[in-house]
Amino acid sequence: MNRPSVAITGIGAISALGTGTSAQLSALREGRSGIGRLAHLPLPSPELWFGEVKASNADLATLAGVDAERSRTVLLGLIAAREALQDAGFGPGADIDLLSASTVGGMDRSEAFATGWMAGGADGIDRAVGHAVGDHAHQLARHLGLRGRVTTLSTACSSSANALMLGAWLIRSGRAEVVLAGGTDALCRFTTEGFRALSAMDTAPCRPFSADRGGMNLGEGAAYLVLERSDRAEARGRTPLAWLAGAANTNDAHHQTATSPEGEGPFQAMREALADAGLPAEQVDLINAHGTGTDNNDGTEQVAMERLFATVPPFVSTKSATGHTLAAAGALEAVFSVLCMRHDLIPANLRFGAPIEGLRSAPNTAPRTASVRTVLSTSFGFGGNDSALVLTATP
Amino acid sequence: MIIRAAAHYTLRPGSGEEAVVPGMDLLPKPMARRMIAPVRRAMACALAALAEAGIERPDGIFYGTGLGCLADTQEFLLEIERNAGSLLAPTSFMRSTHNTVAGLIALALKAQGPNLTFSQGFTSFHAALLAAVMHLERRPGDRVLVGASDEHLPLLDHLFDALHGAGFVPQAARPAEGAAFFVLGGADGVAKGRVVDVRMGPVDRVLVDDGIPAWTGALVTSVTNGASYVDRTGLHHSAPAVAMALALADAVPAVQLMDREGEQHGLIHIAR
Repeated sequence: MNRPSVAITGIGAISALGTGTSAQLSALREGRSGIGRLAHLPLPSPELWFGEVKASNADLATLAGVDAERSRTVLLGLIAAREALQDAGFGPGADIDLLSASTVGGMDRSEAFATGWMAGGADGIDRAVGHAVGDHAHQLARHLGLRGRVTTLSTACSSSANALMLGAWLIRSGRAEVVLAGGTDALCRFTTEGFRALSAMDTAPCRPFSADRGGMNLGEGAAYLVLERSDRAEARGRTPLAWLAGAANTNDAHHQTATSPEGEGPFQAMREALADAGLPAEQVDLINAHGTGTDNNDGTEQVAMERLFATVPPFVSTKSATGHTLAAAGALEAVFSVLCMRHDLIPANLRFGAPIEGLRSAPNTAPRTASVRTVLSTSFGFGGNDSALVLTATP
Repeated sequence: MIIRAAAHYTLRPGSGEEAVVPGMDLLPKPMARRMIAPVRRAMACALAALAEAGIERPDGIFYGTGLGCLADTQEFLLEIERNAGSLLAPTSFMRSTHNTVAGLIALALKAQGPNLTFSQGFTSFHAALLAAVMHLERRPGDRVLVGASDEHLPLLDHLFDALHGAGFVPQAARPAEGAAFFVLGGADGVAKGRVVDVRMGPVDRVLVDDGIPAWTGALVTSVTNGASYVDRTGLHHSAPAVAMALALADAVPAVQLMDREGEQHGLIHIAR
């Protein structure tokens, strides 16, 4: 079947590693970590480690060119989405669909509202208006002047990987020519306290895929990619940065918040994404793993990788540098995948200690130069939600 | 795309009406005991649609919700406020993600296909339906579950009053709860109707000149002659899904349902 290829013609990102894709690239090249103590956000967890974006809301608002009276999720999203559009050469008023992703949306402002409400008043009702997780996407579309479909994927930690998959479906089905897809999530009390209540947070900087791993560090950020029908990108003289060759979403159907011991959902997602791309597993040069650092995730994910690959290719969790950015993670790691292909880079899985008992593979521990032509990037979330993307350097 | 089955309910707090929820007897008992009431009702609806279509396990689940698991979200927000600094109970946090309903349906049925949740106010269901149509175009033999649900909270009444007073909501309206689920796909067997088209975008992209009459623009789920379903669906973000179920139950020959969320418009065109 002859279907249109999905080119990636623009990327944008903000994370604990910095603002903009060049800041992400330098940090990945140097093996630098963005994990640290909180410096800007007043969250009640001083004992924990975070991948905080090193800027106040006022700083971010200046960067985004808007006032600060909005959720940090929106501010981060605007900065990354605008960079992606500019990178692809699109200005305002473009006929572009927006597939965004978020889990917390305007939760930071809902928390401020809840505090007042618990104290007996309903002051600051305007802060509750942006609670709906989709509200951030409207704000992005409005400020970026996008005139297309607008919707929000919210499938927990796989959200933005699913936004990219849906973007590919829209383009391949002929319904869209250009889609801005990605996600944004800011640190807030809701998720910090939630993952702490689940005992899912490491009290030290996280050690994904290590035998002695102790959980995740939460991060924040936003990343967006411009997906474009290949021939249309060619017609306007753009050279694609990479291609989104395949994508899949499956459900593990095992537990609300844990993956099955054999990693069935992750295994099927990776297998189906490669089938969607029409590529054999041997062709994968790098796996950008989900690798949150939790006992359950890393063990089951690595089992799934070892089931799929006779020899597991180099794999890394860049969450060891950014923290887990929740709904932004899939898109952020897709941006990293594009950077790795463009700059021949295998990045580092930081703080790796000893391999997990009973498993035969281990992650790549220091940045190194190698040709990277095909990347498999995975994202898994609550509700048994498992996604995989295949990104390639050529169509 | 063939619509094989549909099930819906609405619940209007304070109306004195009893909600008739299909499929409550189909819920897996141990799982249902752990669910809060609105999630139980939404899941019952989903199971009723699958039972009507004679399908045990859908090949994909495409779900929309405007505000997600509101009760659990509120509960965890209040838990943080009440017990700040101590170890919190994680249950309401685990159940607070927008994809909880779609995830629980997959878990109950061991449904391992695509499982996507969309949230964009009154156009949440449109995106779920469009994704389902695209899935079926790629895999024509599949049968998928599509639906939407939204919860009601007493806090919403309070917020609606305050938002109306502050000019954010243009009409005095009582928020409600509701859900509708459909089984789509397959070529054989009895059909209830078909999805002709699903459109999303700014109004000029949705209402292109192809014989669909102009829209007069009520707030929620109006058909293109200006009549609104909102009295029957109740006011909640899943009202468009409930309206689609009502239109199928009314056996109208064809209907175009229009909704909007800010600048974003959604059109669902179904026919018998």
